[in-house]
Amino acid sequence: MRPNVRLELIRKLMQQHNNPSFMKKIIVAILFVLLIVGGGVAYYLYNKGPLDVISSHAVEISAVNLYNSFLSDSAAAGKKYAGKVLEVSGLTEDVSVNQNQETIILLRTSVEGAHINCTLEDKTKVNANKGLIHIKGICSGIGDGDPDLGLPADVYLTRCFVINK
Amino acid sequence: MKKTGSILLLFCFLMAFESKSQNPYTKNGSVSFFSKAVLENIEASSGQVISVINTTTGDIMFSVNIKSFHFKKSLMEEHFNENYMESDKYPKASFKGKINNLSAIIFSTDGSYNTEVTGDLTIHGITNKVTVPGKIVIKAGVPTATASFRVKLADYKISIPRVVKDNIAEVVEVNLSCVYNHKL
Repeated sequence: MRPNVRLELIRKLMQQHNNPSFMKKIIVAILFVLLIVGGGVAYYLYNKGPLDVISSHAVEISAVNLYNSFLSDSAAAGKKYAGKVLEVSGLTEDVSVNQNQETIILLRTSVEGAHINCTLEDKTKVNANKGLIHIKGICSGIGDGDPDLGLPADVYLTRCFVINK
Repeated sequence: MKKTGSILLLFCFLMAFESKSQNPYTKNGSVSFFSKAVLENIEASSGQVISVINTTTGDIMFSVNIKSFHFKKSLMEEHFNENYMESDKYPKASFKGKINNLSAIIFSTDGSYNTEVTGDLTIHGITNKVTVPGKIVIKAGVPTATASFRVKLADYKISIPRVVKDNIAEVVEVNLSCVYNHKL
């Protein structure tokens, strides 16, 4: 575009700038675009599926340390870990299947009978070897135990995946 | 002969005591709830219910972390935790009560029993006395407890803003199912 043609175009636009009906059209168009974009964002957020645990950043911690932090101050540990994605490493104590056909892996802690209780998201079978395992999942906090009957509480992880290292 | 008899009696007594003191528990029971409203149905579930039955006293407890409930939509989960249940402040929901017809349930024998529990249901930091019907089925020595009941949100001071009152039911249906595959 030659410079004088460009100047002409700018002058025309500036003239229309003072025209109220033109301004009205521009405002309506801007509002319409905002509405479409806003609506689209709202629709996306509203229908957004659950958190993608695998690709989320995780806090790395050992099963023993995680349990001990809940044991020493459950409120502070709850604030720090509950609702967060954790990658917990520990020794497998038991692997079982619950009534919903989900795999439950129990990781050993410093307390006999107390575990990091992990519910796996995918239904793939896991070998029940008692070796070191890394599990990524969302911490839901420490459960209740039954002190009268001597049942210690577990710390729970949900939507877990076994991470191969 | 008399001595043998008394030893046998003592053995029987010990056996009876042993079977009575076996208290079934689970740390991975299931609970789900369903809210049926004009605009949408909402459901969420957790497989992390802790439940213990004291077969001697009839005490029964259930407890679940609020953050263990998962929804299909992440925004619902966020609102559930932050706006309605305030799970940072009230991290658990629990029931502590008694089985009303304990003597009718023989935990050592397979069978199916209709039962009723009465106790304190605590949700959102508010405790109410409730009586809930349920069923205990004993199969191969393993008890399974199921119960369905309705919870009125207003009874637990869970307030629904007017804007979303067509999205969330005032009364939600709760389904509980626990397989007690461990004993204490």
